Amino acid sequence: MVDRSSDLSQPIDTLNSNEQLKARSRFLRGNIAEGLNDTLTGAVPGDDPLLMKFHGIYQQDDRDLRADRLRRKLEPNHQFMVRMRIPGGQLSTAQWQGIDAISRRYAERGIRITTRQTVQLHGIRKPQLRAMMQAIRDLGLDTIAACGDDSRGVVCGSNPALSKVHQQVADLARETSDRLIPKTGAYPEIWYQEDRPVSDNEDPVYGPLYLPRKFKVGYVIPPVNDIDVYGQDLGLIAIVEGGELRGFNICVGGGMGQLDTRDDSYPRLAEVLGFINPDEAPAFAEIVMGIQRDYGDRKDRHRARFKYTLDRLGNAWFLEELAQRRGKPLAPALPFEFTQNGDRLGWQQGGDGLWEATLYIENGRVDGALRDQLQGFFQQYGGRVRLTTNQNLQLTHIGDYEREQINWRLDDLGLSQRLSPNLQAAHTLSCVALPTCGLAMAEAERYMPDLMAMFNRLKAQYGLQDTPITLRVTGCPNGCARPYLAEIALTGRAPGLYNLYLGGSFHGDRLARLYASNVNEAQFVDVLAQLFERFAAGRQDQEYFGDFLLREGLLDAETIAVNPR
Amino acid sequence: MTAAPPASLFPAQQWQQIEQLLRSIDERQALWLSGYLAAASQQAPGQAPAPQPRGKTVLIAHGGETGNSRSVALALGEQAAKAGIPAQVEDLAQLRVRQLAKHEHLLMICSTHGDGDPPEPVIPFFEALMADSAPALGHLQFSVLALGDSTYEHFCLTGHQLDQRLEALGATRIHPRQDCDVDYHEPSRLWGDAVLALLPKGEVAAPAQDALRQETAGRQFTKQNPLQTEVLENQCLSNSAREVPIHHIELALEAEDFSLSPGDAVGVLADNPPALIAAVLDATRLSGDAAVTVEGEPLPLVQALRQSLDLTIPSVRFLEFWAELSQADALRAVCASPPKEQRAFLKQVQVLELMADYPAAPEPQALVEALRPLQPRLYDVANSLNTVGDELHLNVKLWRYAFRDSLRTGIGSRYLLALEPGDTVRVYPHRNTRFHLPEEPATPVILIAEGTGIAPYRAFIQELALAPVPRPCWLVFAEHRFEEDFLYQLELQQAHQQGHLQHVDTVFYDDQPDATLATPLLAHAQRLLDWVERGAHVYFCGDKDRLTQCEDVVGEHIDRQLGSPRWQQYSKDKRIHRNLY
Ligand code: SRM
Ligand SMILES: Cc1cc2nc3c(=O)[nH]c(=O)nc-3n(C[C@H](O)[C@H](O)[C@H](O)COP(=O)(O)OP(=O)(O)OC[C@H]3O[C@@H](n4cnc5c(N)ncnc54)[C@H](O)[C@@H]3O)c2cc1C
Ligand SMILES: Cc1cc2nc3c(=O)[nH]c(=O)nc-3n(C[C@H](O)[C@H](O)[C@H](O)COP(=O)(O)O)c2cc1C
Ligand code: SF4
Repeated sequence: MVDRSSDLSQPIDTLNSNEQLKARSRFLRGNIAEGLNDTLTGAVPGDDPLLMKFHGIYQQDDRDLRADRLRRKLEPNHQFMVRMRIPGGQLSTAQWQGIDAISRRYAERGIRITTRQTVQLHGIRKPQLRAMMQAIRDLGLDTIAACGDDSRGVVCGSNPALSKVHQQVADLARETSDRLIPKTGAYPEIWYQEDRPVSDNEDPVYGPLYLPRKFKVGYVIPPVNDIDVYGQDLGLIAIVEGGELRGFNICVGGGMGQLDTRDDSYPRLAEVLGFINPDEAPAFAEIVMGIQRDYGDRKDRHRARFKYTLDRLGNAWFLEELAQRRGKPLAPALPFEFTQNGDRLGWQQGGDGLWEATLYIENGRVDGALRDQLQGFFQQYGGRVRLTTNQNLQLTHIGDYEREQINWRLDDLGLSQRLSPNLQAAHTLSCVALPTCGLAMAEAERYMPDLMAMFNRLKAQYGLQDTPITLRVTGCPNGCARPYLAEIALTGRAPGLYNLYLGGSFHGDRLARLYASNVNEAQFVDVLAQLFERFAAGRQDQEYFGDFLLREGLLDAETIAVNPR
Repeated sequence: MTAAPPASLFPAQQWQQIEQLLRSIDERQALWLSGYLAAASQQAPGQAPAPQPRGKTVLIAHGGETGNSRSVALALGEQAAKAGIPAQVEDLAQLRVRQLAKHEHLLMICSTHGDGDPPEPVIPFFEALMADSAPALGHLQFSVLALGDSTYEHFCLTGHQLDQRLEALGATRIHPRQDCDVDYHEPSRLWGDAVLALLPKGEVAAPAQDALRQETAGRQFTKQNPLQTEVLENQCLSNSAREVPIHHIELALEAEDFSLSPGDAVGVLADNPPALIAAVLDATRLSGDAAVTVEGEPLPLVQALRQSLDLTIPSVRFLEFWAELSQADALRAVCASPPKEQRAFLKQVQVLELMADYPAAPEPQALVEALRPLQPRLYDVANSLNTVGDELHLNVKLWRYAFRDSLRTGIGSRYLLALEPGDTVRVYPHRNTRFHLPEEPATPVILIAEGTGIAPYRAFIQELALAPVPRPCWLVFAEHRFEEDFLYQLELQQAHQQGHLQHVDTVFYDDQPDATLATPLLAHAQRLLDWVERGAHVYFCGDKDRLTQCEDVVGEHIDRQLGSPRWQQYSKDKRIHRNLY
């Protein structure tokens, strides 16, 4: 008999306040429309910011200005971050150009390519918000469920060598996304000001309470694990035989987020549980999401992710529930292999003979000179665009004859070094953090340039410049840059202080372990220097840093606790 | 001992001698002496008038807001008594028009306030006198002393109006009206001497002296006797990049008897900026240590220039002084021209330019006596003493204005913005009864402000939070940018949440280029009508031009909706309150 004491089946007033808010919200309407007209504040009053997340909009403020504005008797510098929904990260050139134009007109700090291969725009002010949402619509894009307790943007990895399979999988990702997004009329009603009839069952699949928490689905095509399939709530791993897509291994229960203050909160790898046929994938995703909807924890938001549901109720229960809803059990998983979770930068030729070029974008931030260079480039570019889950930009569908000319243009515009930057870059990620992220405790994106330079010097010191090491930095333990899947990760604890995690695998199938807490730069550089020295000395041929640490048993060392104060 | 007479009357050392002498003599001697002096002054030129019939006294009536008219009147009363002229000093605030029937001689001393308005307390008398029902005054002989400030557009207007009205009611002018600028001591003394010489003698009762004692008793804070307060906080509210910053200033208020209600202001005695003082000393080749006396008080020249004298605005008197000293024909020519042209000329030039353009070497004391006294600056108190009792909050904007070919900075605002916590400032209360909340506790109020105009409303809103009866309140506020210039935004949000502020409408010119202060009022035209018909009082505070424009638009709208001259009527009914600068 399953424990249902904390799920949907319980009386609403016993559930988390967010659940009651959703219930009251009339399918995500709340008072957002009124709030937009409130001229006394740049924010949206009350609980509406929580509802706006379901529309892909985060209320934020420039944290650099908080203290000063308080002294000036002014409210925080409220602004909005808008996250688009771009399944598989695929865009037409026109759409990219449109996003560029919107970022210049309404946003600050350019265009931000995210670790789920979509675009975020920061610094939009309330009076412009609606106009901007309509501008996005006019590009044939939207922001529905880019945030909130629902199915987030469905990601799709790349494998240019298998162009045909890649396209198939990308199409399934899009189909899955379309199938899983909320159907409420609140979105067009509020943002496009369309008035349509409000029914009392606008979201049949979700129901009025939507999900207990975000739900992330990702498709990946081995051997590149660019999306970090083990970090997804539901991962679908393409199984290819003789150049044909045979189906998907499915893995469930991945997630990075954790609270340092609770030990029943932790990152978790998704587990591979079986195999399904290709065409079934979208419907399958809906079934799995349905199970999380019905059994996920709705009392404690910190235990609400699917990974905890699985740990609470067990895989056996899940497989049984799944078999019931699906009408048949899962077939056994098939073998596959991953080699890396970073992008392959530079030029790659597809099976269809078309080329694609992956440009390195530091922190996924396209702003200033870079934004202008790209704007110039896209003025004469016939192919398509793809955003990667490593925050990079791919030029795709390039014919043989165009390639040379494109190389020249990239050269002229000073973009060509992005095809082959120092190889560490391709394996480094950082999240947004300060000043916009409300949860950041330390710098990440803004710290990256210095950190990267320092890290490269350190590697060179021990002759490791030709050895890629996955390095990921986040401003807090939430893990937006998937730090716990890196060989080296820093997660923010306080300004200038980080937790140091070590020992993930180079292709992201092993969790890094906490090695030192609350260390400042000097301290973690010191730790890394010692380990690099041993690595340089004791490394076996092409062994990766993470694997080395494990083999040498260096991770079992007592973690060095350093107190911030 | 009696208050010191103006320095212009006695040079310092002479007055000291007199004071010594007076201290040394006894009652009898004093009485004899006053008689002797009075008799002496009788030999003054001019025809000796017929003796005063018993009981009829000369009425010395004064009206004002900041005590100048009163002090002139009291001094004159004393002088009359000494001269053996039975006189009685009355405040126009108490005086009834029909009481004029009991007198044959009226000496009226009255200032102008607001934007050419009568001093608030004088308004009832003024209106009664202007009314068609006013009695004929054929029996009355009068002369008017008008106090004012030539930098205001309507210089001494109230005095002019009283002067004309008395004549129109049949009274005879025994001496021409005297207009006084802020350096009123000398001209008012001359006027006093002249009129007293025309008045009949009689038995002298001594009410004037009593009044004088009242004056010197009861220690309350005035321009002459300001409160020294400590600066607690001086916070810039506007964006640091803005060239005319707006500050929130908090002063410690230790004194109990510093009476203020929401809507009142404080007078601030500002210092002139050191650079300007140095420039003046340079131009005059004088040493700052030179000993001078101001209002009988001996002090070094530099201190006089810092605290007592206006170094920007030249007075007619300074013009004459400097013309004489510099022997400059250009200046002489101006002096020869009619007063209006003189004032016009003086608006185009500041003290320092005169000194630079027409070099001359004045005597320190002469310079001090020629310059116009530095006037206090008024700032609305931005807090209710019922909420924060031991602090004064000000909201001050740096005053910038184009003059000749450069951008000048205001004296008072510059002084205040430069203050640091721990510094002391001299302030005194300035009642602004025209701008208080309505008596009736439930009467709705519509508060319209631009920029620092928000200051008194902040006090109002704090007061509303304490009121037992909720008072509907609608605030309309305008500034430059929503994100940087929304003065007291957090407090207004709170008041709105707590329901003390029903509506807050804003205009931010930089964000909404087409909007004006009136835009939100017209956008809510129905609400505006409802409120006004429910008897709402409407307040306008801040920049004179912008708010006058706004009132014109609103007034026209109301008249169009409810029939003209409805707005004028509201104004008469004292439902429209203005605090413009
Ligand atoms: C932009 C992005 C990081 C980046 O540098 O690219 C990002 C940025 C934010 N994430 Fe994330 N997350 C992003 C990918 C991730 C990932 C990686 C992934 O999904 O592959 C994770 C880890 C996987 C997972 O979900 O466990 C992730 C785990 C979180 C969490 C922790 C969730 C948890 O279960 O504990 C939060 C906090 C929360 O949801 O309460 C969070 C919350 C946030 C917010 C919205 C902060 C907030 O809730 O106010 C951040 C906005 C910062 C800003 O100013 O832009 N973000 N976030 C990524 C946008 C992805 C997208 O396009 O949808
Ligand atoms: C009742 C009342 C309440 C007030 N409340 C406030 C308040 O709350 N906050 C606030 O900031 N201010 C307030 N003011 C205005 C304040 O009193 C001062 O007038 C203002 O600060 C400017 O004074 P200042 O000494 O800085 O400028 P000043 O040195 O006095 O400069 C102004 C002088 O410069 C000259 N001048 C000004 N403009 C021109 C021009 N265009 N051309 C030529 N000459 C010019 C004039 O002679 C004028 O006297 C209030 C005024 C009044 C009457
Ligand atoms: C707020 C305010 C407004 C004034 N408006 C005028 C005016 O419009 N015209 C004028 O000639 N003087 C004006 N004055 C100057 C006063 O009339 C002058 O200071 C006079 O000496 C005050 O005398 P009292 O103390 O008897 O009121 C104004 C003064 C203040 C404080
Ligand atoms: S990891 Fe933390 S700091 Fe970084 S973006 Fe995510 S929530 Fe913000």
